[in-house]
This record gives sequence, C-alpha cells and structure tokens, in this order.
Amino acid sequence: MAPLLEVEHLTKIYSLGGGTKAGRWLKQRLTNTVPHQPRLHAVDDVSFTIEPGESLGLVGESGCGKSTLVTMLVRLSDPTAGVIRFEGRDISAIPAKRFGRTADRGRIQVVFQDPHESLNPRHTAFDVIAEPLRRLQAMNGKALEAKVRETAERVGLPDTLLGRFPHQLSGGQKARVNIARAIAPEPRLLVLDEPTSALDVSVQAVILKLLDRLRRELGMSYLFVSHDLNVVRLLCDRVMVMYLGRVAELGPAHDVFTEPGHPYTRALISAIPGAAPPGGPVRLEGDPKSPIDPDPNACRFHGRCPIGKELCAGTAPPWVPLGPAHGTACHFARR
Amino acid sequence: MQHFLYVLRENPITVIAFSLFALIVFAALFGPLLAPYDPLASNPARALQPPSWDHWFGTDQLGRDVFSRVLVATRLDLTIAVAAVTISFAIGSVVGTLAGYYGGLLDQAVGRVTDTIMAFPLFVLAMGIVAAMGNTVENIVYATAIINLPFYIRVARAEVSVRRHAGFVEAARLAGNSDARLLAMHLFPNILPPMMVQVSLNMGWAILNAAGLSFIGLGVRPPTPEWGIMVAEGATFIISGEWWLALFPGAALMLAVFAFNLLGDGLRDLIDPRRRT
Repeated sequence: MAPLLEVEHLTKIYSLGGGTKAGRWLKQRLTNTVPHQPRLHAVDDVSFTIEPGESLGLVGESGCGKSTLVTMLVRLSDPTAGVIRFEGRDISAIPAKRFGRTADRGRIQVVFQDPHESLNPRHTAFDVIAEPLRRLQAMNGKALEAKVRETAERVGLPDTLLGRFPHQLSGGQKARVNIARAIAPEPRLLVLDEPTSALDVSVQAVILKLLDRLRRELGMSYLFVSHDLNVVRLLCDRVMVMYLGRVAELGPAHDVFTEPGHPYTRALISAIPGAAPPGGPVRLEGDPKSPIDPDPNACRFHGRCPIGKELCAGTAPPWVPLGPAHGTACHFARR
Repeated sequence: MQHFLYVLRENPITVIAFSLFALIVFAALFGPLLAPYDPLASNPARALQPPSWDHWFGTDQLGRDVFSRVLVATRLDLTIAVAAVTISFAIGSVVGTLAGYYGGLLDQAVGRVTDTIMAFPLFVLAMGIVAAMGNTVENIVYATAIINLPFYIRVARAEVSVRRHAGFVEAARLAGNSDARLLAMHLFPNILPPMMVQVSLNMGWAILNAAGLSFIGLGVRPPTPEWGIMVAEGATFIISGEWWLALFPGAALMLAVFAFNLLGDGLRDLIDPRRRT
C-alpha cells in the first residue's frame, strides 16, 4: 500500500538578524562587504513516511524542531526545501496561504498542545466543532447540527455541554472539544502536538485511551508528538527521535526502546523513571549545540555524546540501517 | 438581557453609570423638545437672574434660560464625541489589527506614525488642526478623531499581537479560514472588550476636548448652545457673583465625562464572555 504521507529532505531555515532588507543593502554598500547572515537550521533534511492507519511517535527535547516540522506538515508554514506528499500528491508545492482553500485542508488536522488556548473564548463548544464543517464542507442547518452532535458523542462529550463557553468547561472537556474539532472534517492524518501535556494525570489516561480508540474506529494515521516516552511506547507503532533539527533514529517502537541505536535515544530511555536501558544508563550533561550555522561536517550530537570521537567532529554520520525499517544517524551504532 | 441585569446587580456603580448614560442619551434625543424656553431667545429684561422656579439654572447676560441651553447643548456635544470616537475606533481597530497581525514593515510604519502623533501635546495638535482646516463642527470631529487614533491603534495592535499565535487562531486557519476572515471573525471579537473600555474612556475625553476647543474659541461659535462656550462666557461673570452661568454647563460636562469613565468597566463586564456564568 502506498504511504499516506511521504516527507523527503524537508528543511526549514530561518535567516536571522541583519534588520530589514533595505538596512542590509545599505550596510553592504557602505562597508563594501557582504554581511554574514546567520541561518537557523530549525529542521534539516528530514525524511520519513507514515502509512495509512499507522501511528508514528515523534520525540525530542524542546527546540529540536518538532514544532517547526509539525507546522510545515500541516501546511501552516512553508518549507525552505524538500517535498511533502500526501496520498501521492505534492502538497508542499501549494503555499500555506492558499492551502486552506484546497480539499486536503480537512484531511490533515491538528490537536494542539494547550486545550484552553486552542479554543476561541467567544465560541461555544458547538461553534468550535461546527467551524471546520461550515468552512470546509459548507454544511449548515440540520445536517450541521447532526454532524456536530455525532462528533461530540464520538469523543464522549455530553450533549448538554455543547452550548458552553470554554471557561465553563473542565480541562478534560476542553481536550475533548479540541479533538472533536480536529476529527469533525474526517481527517486521514491527525497530528497530536503533545495533546495531554497540559492535562491532569488522571485525565491524561482517559484522553489517551480515547485517542487510541478513535484511531482504530476512524482508520486515521497519527503523528504523535510527545516527550512522554511511556505514552509513545504505548500508543505508537513507530518512533522517530529528533535531535537539533535532524532525525537521530527511526524505527519500530519496540525495537527503538529495546535496542536503541543512537546514544541520544539511549539517554532518553535512561531518563524514563524505572527504566533499565540495554547497555547501562546514559546521562547527558550540558545543552545542545546552537542550531545557528551548524557545522555541516560534524555530528549534531558531538560534544554532548558519551561516545563521541574525533571522527564525529569531522564527518557527519551516515544513515546506518539496524534492521528492517530501523535506522540511526550514528558512526558507532550497534548493529 | 439576563446577563445585563446580572452585571448591574453585581456592581452598583455600573447601575449609576448606566443611569447617567441613559439620562445623557435621553437629553440628547429629546432635549430640544423638553427645553422650557427657546435656547436662543434673548430677553434683556430678565438678564442675569439667579436660579429660580421659573429658570432652574438662572439666566445669562442676554436673559436666555441656562437650563434650556444646557439641555439643548447635550445633543451637539454628544454628537461630536460619538462621531469622533466612531471614526477613531473604526480606523484604529483596522490599522492596529493589521499591524499587530502582520508585523514587519507595516507594523513599524504604523508605530512611527502613532509615535509622531503622540509626540505632540494632543490638545495643541487638535487646536492646530482646527485652526488650519477651518473653524467648523466637522473639523472639531476630525481633529478629535485624529488625536484619539493612536490609543485605538495601540490597544488593537497589542491585543492582536499577543493572540496571533494562540492555538485558536491556528485552529481557525486549519478550519480553512482566510486571513481576512480570521481577523474579522476570530481575532477582532476577542479584542472587543479592551477596545470598548477604551471607547468609553475616550468618549468622556472627546466631549472634554470638543468643549475645550469651543472654550478657547475654536469650532462651535456663539450663540449656539454648547457647554464649552457657555463655560467660557460664564467665566467672566463669576467674579461679579453670577456663578450659575458657568457652574451648570460645567457640571453637565463633568457628569458626562464621569458617566463615560464609569461606563467602561460595566461595558467590559457585559462584553467579556468570561464573565458570563
């Protein structure tokens, strides 16, 4: 079967500083030098696929490019380079500004991190769920109402709460409204951006169960962004580990957790309370290198890596296959 | 409606503000019908009479009834203020929203223009505009609108720029909203509460500004009844003991400004959905 989503060499680079274009031009003229413009590599040459009905976990620390990758995938921002193919169609060719008018808009949806902030304070739960249906599928009247009620029921939101404003709902109820809003236009790919991190622990489990059930019922694919590795392990078929804008490791969830190939993945697994990673615990110190103008000929993890050698400082690691569908970017990956 | 009554019960000051506001609007609508005397008819025989049952606020140097003049002036003063505030609100919210949402060069340009307007002493700027453009009521409206503009632009810009990356804005975009729709239907309604407070505070200020311009002889001209002119004309009689000429229009002016200032809080409570329980 053809993959639902194919991402090839996706890159997002932000040009930093230097003020306005006119200011840079003036400086260049006055000093007769080409000013160096620092470039922030937020996402650097990322490739992966998501199969229909599959759940892919995306993990990595804050600032590793997860959010940038997500906003590009869901077509809220434009990539600097690379291709995103959805059901075989190149959707990265359509500018983000115009993507809202295409038929694919409803087929890729997102559940955002903060359930409260993601709801318009002036809209009732009904309005929130109805909005994508009105805009994307031109529904109205009885059909719209029936569809909203059906969607609310699917996510376990009582009918009586539909008339309420966000501030009158609990955290769990707000999370359900957000999920209902995202699944209302019947997406094929649902991106979950840390959907439970802002919720109470007791509610988290309930929402995660709901998400797992919805995926099976509706046959959606998930891209599950999280830094809770236990959750990823439970809900995801495959896991992608990102470090400083690059893919560090990608493979089936079970393999990645039991036989991590990349030292960073091992460090992440070591950080799970009560975990006993193969090969002993790995502790990281310090902060990641700067994503601004990274050395293209060095491993991004070098300097923080427990096994880093001279080779890592001078040569970027190749992609090392570790098994079927499992690979890592490390010179010293255990095969 | 139920919510309106709830807000009134919650805060007694809001009751006072809304009653005063209702009174002012009523006077503006029906003042000319209710005035016991013609506000322009002079009667030298009854000049400078102190307040009495016949003339509640006394009469002025030409024998005109001060009460009738104060009452009739409400419409003019309120019209100037409402027109000026409407113009600044309309332009300010559009420009401020766009600057806050798109940022960049537009934001910088808008910021510099508002800074430039703010750099002038605003009343002096209004004087200059009226003096340069001509001494008419419309020009008072435009001058008042221009000097109020920066406040609306700044409030709208600030409120939009803190929300432009909020989850609900991204969610609206995912629902297929265009930028224009997103700004008008999702962002703008959310910045209304602080904007309404600004409108109310500004309304009092606009009345004061219009009266101030008339007081120094710009804009509305005698014998038109207008609070600022009446205070200006009455001021010369205070020394000789005829206090009622300046006091009553001054009190009307103060009451109107007071009412609009109090109204701001009440309006915010009414419009903010978070106060709805």
